[in-house]
Amino acid sequence: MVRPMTDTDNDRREPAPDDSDPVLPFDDFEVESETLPDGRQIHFYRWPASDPHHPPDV
Amino acid sequence: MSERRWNPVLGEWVITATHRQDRTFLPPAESCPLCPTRPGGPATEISRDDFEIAVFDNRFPSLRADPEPPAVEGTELTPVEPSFGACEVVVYTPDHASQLGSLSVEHVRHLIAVWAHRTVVLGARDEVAYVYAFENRGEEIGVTLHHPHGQIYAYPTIPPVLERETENAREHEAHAGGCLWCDLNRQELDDGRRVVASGGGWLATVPFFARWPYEVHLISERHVGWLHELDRDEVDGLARMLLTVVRKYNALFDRTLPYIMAIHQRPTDGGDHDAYHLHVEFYPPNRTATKLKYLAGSEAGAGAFINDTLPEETAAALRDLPPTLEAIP
Repeated sequence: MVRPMTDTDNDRREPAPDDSDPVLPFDDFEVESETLPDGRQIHFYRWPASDPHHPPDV
Repeated sequence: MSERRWNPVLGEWVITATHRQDRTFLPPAESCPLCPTRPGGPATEISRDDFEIAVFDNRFPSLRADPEPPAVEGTELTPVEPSFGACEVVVYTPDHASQLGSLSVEHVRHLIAVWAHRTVVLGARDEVAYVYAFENRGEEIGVTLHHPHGQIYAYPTIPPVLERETENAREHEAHAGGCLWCDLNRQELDDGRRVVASGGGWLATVPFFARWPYEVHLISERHVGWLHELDRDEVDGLARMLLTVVRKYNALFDRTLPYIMAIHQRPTDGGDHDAYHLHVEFYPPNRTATKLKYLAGSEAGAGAFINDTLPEETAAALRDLPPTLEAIP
């Protein structure tokens, strides 16, 4: 059963997985991040080695 | 206003998010907020005129990194918390008229990489215990924007369904000595009647215990917990399996079938969840071409699902429809 989270829970927490050392077997992409006028973040993912315009298969 | 209120009766949090009442509702295509901002055109949520896949913070989030204080005070019996977490929108493609099922295999592989990367990034936040990527498709599901997109919610606690799954996985491992989903995969392959497709490191079945007539689960053959643990061949296999299932859905009633797609990965709370096994679940609401299954008295009031169909028959119907996994180019 889930229960209310306490500060102690956070203290015990070990971030997993860790974004400082991502183990991505398919990491051939680039991420460009921008801050929108209202402060929100937007991230553009692109694959330089591939055609940016993927024709649909069907 | 957004907050989390504890339900001590069911032992679960309820998120209130009153600002979502004002979110954009079924705008015409020319006013789609998920299309790129074209030169000379109106500004959309996407600040560029082209992109491959874009992810941005939801304008109407239920969970956020800097939530407002709760609107009411809680009690010891019914505590209330700020809604820590994150809500992101994943825009699959700039093409408004596209859908998951019409993307190329390469594009779906890229989409899987985005889901995996966002899981790694959001899961590393101290306040995030679970990262849930999903797609709602179709007005029948409650979709308010038709542009092909999905969402990612990062919760501060493990959500109830995932909590039950992790507990049952742990219990099964303790009693049976193995992974629950690995054992289900073996059982379904041995039986064969509920298999929709298999190959590429993945098995797609209408589960023995399906709640929805055309519910399908995609389970990896290898015991992994997160998308980022898949190897390249398994990512390619998942892309092809996703396309196989969605295209079969579209062939089922010769229409774009609505569905919920739920990606179930291990929690990111740092706990011991090695027993948990990555899988993807689809819940289409249709029981016929024109009739929907509703969550009515038994389902909503008692939590007991009643399925009007036999999984063996709905699996056979899906299995016999095009395409086969091997036909995905």
